Amino acid sequence: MRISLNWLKQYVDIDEYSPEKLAEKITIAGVEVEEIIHMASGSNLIIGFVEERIDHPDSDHLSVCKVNIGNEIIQIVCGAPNVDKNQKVIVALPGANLPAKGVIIKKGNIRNQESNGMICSLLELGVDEKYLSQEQKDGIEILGNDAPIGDKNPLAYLGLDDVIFELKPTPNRGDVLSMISFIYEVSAVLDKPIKKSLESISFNKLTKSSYLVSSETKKCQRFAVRGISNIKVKESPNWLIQVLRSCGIRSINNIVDIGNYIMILLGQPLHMYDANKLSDNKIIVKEGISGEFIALDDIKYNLDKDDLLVTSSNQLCCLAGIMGSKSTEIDNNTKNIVIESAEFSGVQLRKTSRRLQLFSEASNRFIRGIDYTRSLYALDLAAKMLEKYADAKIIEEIVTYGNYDFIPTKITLSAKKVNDVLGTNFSTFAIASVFDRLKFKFNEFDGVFVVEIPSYRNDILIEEDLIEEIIRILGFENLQETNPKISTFGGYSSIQHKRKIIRDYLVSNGIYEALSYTLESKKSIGDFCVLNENKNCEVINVLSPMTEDRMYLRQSLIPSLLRSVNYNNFRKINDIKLFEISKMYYSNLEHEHLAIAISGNINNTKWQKGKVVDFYTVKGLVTGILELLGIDANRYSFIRIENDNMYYHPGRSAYLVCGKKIFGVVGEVHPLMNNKYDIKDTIVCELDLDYIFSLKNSITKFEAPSMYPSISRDIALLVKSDVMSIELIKSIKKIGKKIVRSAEVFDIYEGQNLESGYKSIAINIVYQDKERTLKEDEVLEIHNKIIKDLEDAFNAKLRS
Amino acid sequence: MEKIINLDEAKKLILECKNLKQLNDLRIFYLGKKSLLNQSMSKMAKLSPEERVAFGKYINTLKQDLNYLLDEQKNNLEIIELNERLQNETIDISLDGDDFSSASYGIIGGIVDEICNIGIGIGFSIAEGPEVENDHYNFEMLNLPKDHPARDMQDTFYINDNELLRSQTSPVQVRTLLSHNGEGPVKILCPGKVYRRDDDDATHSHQFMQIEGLVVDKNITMSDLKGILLLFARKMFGEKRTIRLRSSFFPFTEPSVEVDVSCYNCNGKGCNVCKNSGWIEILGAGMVHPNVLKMSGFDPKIYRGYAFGIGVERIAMLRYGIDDMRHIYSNDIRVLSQFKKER
Repeated sequence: MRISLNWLKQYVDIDEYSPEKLAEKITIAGVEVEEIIHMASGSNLIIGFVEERIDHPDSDHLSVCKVNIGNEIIQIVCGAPNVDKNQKVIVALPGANLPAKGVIIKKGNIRNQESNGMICSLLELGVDEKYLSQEQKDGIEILGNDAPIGDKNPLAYLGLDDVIFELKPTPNRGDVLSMISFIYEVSAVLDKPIKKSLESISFNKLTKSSYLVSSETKKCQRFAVRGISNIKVKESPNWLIQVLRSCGIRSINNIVDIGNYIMILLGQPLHMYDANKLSDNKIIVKEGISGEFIALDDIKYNLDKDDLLVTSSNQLCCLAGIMGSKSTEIDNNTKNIVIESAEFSGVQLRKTSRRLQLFSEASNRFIRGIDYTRSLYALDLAAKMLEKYADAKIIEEIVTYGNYDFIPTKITLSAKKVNDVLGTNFSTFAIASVFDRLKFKFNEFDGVFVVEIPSYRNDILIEEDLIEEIIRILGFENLQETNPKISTFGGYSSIQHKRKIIRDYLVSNGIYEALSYTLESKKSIGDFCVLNENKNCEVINVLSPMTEDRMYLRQSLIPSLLRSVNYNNFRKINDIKLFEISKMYYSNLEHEHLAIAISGNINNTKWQKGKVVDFYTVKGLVTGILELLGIDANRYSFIRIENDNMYYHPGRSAYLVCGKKIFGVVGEVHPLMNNKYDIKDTIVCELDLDYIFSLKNSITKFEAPSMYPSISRDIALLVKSDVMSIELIKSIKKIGKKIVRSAEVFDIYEGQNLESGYKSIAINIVYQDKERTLKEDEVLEIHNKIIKDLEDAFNAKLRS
Repeated sequence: MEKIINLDEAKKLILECKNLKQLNDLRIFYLGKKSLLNQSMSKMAKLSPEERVAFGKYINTLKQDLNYLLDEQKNNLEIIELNERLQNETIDISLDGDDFSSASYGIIGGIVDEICNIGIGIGFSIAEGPEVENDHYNFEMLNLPKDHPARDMQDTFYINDNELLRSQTSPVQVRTLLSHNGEGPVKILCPGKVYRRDDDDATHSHQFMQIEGLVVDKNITMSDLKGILLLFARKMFGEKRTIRLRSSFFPFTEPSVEVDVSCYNCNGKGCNVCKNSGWIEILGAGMVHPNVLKMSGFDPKIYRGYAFGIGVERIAMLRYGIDDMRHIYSNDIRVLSQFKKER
């Protein structure tokens, strides 16, 4: 909604405020002024009269003009194609500042012809081109005959010495979509009286209405029309064109303009029908109609049975409150019209507008709620204006459907409640002053107010709404800044704490915390979704997605991270360490996942490469996390992934299992996925955090280190390549139970000098007892037993 | 008694030694098997007992002195040699050290942590809830019935008629209130991802992070709200900040305000950060609407509350001067690595 300050000035005294200050005051009080627009600007302008125009002797497009500016005649060289003698024009004299053009006009010499100023177009004066015709954009502005030569304020003559506020009212303040209600707002905010009220209207003679109206739906409670005959469609008067222009509306013709003007003034949308095009004199609001509606814009809209329509016999005259029909449109030959002033359900209009993506100034007002106490006045004002500006001869009485009585809402509010809620000390007098400023009628007894809410403030329903009025009018600076009272223990929950531990650990280890989008693409949904036990579960999509890239709720974090790896690779960053914690969606539930993606080298210094990341890099991070969370290594294990897994390298990937539950996956990205995501060797893991968070902490039990000496023995075993070292270790520990303190792999060798399909595993075994010194021969006995067992169970050969 | 060795001369020779090899040769010369000293020992037998004692003493002293001198010089030479070796082992200390540097928290994650930590210090708990929400919790329980025009403030991703991607974290407030069975106090911060149908551009994102705060207790006032807003604004933007409230509208609070903080860049004088207004909009807030309390099982005659909502991306962009929101979601290491010190 645009408001002209020149127009506003007629109602409220705002002269003491600059536009900026005024905008700030109005905004702080709750109606945001989104933009301050100067219609046109320029200094040192004057209205001149072109007495003589000749072609410039040295140019094929310039003219040399003699311009009378009242007390003298000056020469100006002008480049506009439309300049001619006997025109009244706007002259920028030397020294004039034209901000839109970014120039200051100087006396000059253009191809040997003296030029003492510039004849201006409106574009050069900063008028938005959307209000200008092609002619106006291409040439200088030619003023009317009534323009006073020598007048130093041509912008005022044109009504362009105006400042416009673009208002952005909140959804509850539909009232300020009318000038009259906005005046109430400004008057209250500034504490200034309203200088003039709406004129009262009476008619000498009204003809009996030739129409019947009614509504067959609850979605239209009030409907009124008035027939007017013998009108003449023509151009609107200047003042009306200017007012509409200042409100951002282009003039069409006098009939349409009058409708728009009344809508802006009163907030009541009007609709005009060509009376001769109506099929019948019964005008009825209906719903439940299906089929097509051809609107004013020549577009066919498919109707829904809930849509509201204004009908005449079987004719669909108007998609109520939104747009009229082509069939009843006013045209240049229209003689007789019917004006409609109604109240339609905002809820329904919002539905229809959204469905058809068809929003208008009218529907916008109905959606927020109009003030029906102005509906009939709007028809009176329309008739008066049509009489004056469209030569209307026959004016009919208004015919109405519905009840127009208004019973104001009354709210009881005590000063105590006001101060309790706000934490203030406002006196009864101060509170009363707010209601006075807002023009709310009230009674007050012993600090208790009974307030009558005027019809246009449909946003005020309860005490708290009035309390808001009080504090916004008196000013939020009246609120103290109380220190918080602390009566609760704050803190993270156990899960939040665990999540923080994981993030701290990963960040400390140089893994960056990533953030990516929940909505996954059609192309990637389903990829890497291996933690979902129900492999065939449906994917969840959003209704009418904005793009194919943001369509589904993701089921795995890996695609997002791989895209980030690709993004970085593409920018020549090859060492990438990323993790993300986020919610996934499958099996009809949200699941919190952690995923890590690592690519390139780790432990680099800039001038010497570290280790190329592999499965063990990420496995180490995973076991590190589980250790921190108090989940002992003996409570879970890594098992090989399926041979036919499509997302992970089958030989270099593992599931994390606890009992039968798969709660994580670690591994190298499958080469086919590398191709799909355009990345190089990347190791990832994805963990089901919900499950991990549900596991209890292992209890910490102190054990004093043994005081007795230990014996260390290394063995190297030749085994088949597919033997997993963990099995050997388990076996060693099982046999040496009492005296084996540790058994750890310290070397793996495959390749040269070894039979293919075999590998050498070197294991260090430490023997130690807690309570005594071990004897050499008892260790030897166990050690031999261990070796024998390994040879038998794994077909291992001891290497010397 | 004849002098076997001129000690002064020996000292001179020893001190003149330039390396351990020379020194060792001297040691052999003076103290070796074939040395004068050793040879003279054989004369001992011929001496009278008195002379033998005196001679023995002389020889011993001489040996001690020589040994001392030789050892002393050996030490000196060793240190010199060590120093030479160490000089040869010099490395380029200007090269970078090994990479033990930690990474950074996400830009958004870091700010969420920061805000939560401020809140925890003054008694807030952290509440979380589902991102796939029911219309009921996301809207209706927040005083936004179906087809309410204020729903247009948030264009929402629906999954079906009833389920949607939450457009705000307010449903977490509702769920928390319900879980309290009408008994206060409730004091929570609700951080979380929210979703709206906005095209991604420099200042919009279809997904963003929100943190809402909610306090419900007896005798809560709007001045308490202003107090906590000032506290957060100062913790986030500096202790010299002031705040300004502007009247606004949210369906779930009444009165409602937008909160501006005085510009940290120009201290309110006006600059390009604050678009010359001196103020920067940072969050929305208000007193919990009685309908919301009622629907969540709290008696608005007994309890009142306040709530506020912060857009974390906006805070990040303001604080770090990030001009395009998409940087936040790029996971570009060159971006992330700039935030290591921001904890």
